[in-house]
Amino acid sequence: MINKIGSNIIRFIFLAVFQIAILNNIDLGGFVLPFLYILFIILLPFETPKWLLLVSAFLIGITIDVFSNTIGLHAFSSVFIAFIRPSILHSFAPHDGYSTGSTPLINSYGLNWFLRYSALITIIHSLIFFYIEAFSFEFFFSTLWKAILSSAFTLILIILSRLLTVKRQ
Amino acid sequence: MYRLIRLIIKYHFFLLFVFLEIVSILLAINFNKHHNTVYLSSANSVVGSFNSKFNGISTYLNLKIKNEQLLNQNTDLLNKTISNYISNIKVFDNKHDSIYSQQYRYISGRIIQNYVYNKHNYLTIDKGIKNGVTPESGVACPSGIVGIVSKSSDNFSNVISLLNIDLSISAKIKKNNYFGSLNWNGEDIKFAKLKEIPFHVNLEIGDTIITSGYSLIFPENILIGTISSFDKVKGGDFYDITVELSTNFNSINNIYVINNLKKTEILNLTTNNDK
Repeated sequence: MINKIGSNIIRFIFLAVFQIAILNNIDLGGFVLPFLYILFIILLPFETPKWLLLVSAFLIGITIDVFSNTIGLHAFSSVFIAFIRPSILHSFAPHDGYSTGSTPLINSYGLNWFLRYSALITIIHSLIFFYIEAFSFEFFFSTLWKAILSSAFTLILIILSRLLTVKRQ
Repeated sequence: MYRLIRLIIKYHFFLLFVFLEIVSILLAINFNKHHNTVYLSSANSVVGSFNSKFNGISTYLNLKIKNEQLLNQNTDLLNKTISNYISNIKVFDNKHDSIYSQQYRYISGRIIQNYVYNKHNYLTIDKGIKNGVTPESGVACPSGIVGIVSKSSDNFSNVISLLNIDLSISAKIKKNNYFGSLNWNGEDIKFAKLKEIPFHVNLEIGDTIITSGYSLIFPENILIGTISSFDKVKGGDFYDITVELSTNFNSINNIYVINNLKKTEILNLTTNNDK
């Protein structure tokens, strides 16, 4: 248990620094912005207390916000995906349910399962982030396009980073 | 009371969710409305120094191009210095010049954080109140204008980028001095829209757009960009002009903050007009 808390705290710090120092500075035509930091929320263990889920999502969101001049936006979208995460996990659950003490990883329930679960969370997160940021439907299609491209990139990064770490486990 | 507590415990997940979302929205609204709150932003000294460390690395990678740009600009400026011209009439004394007085002061600085992904973009620069930067100063770079300072802490300042759909700048066409307002439409970071130019004005693709000098922020004649296309809007009175910005917002690094030293004097004068 303590081991799990420790590894999640390390993941929090690593993903936040990676997002702020590298991803925020990557130049992809000013249109695409990958949000790899939501991997932290995706990978929290199944038994995380629901309140802790929300609070840790808020913390990582506000950390990214402070460093990228978007106060409140990342926090809002992170808290939202943390809120819907239990219901998404519930609807994707295998027949015999999730085994106790496990984490939503690729090798626990397969690539297909992980892909569906993280894609849904990533798309919802990007849509909320970009629409709250634009704060109107005036730029409906450009915002939509931006959200789709960004979530695609985020998903690619998520899968790549999981595949890189899968062998170690 | 006991029932209330039981209700809160039962629905704690949803209540906490609503609470955190309200906190986020309030933060977002406060941050966008009141530009005086410095404590939770990149103008904060902790965040600022962190960002400037990372920026130090990326500045190093761009060193060669930047040096070239600086060199070009230096030669440009050297060409303009007074010592290069021989005055025909030796009447003016530079030290106690009562004919010319300095209206704009330039402070050089560096961008330590730059954002181009949103509709409302901001940048952070490494000069603040200690260096003489005040809110509502203009910011330009060697290739064109960048934005307007929104708030300053001791060592850092936050700049509303030209790539912010809420910012508009007074601009004019260089060849015939017709002026309008320029703002970004939130789509492509290379282009902005120039409005309020009436139909009878002759335009050509490639015409230079510069600052008008009618606002208190930018002096006249700072380059903004060139006309890349224009169109007559049916039923309107004004052209729809697309301007290709000369500033490449993806690669700016060195900037100048422009302080209008006569701003308070002009403001006093114009506020008296309103009465």
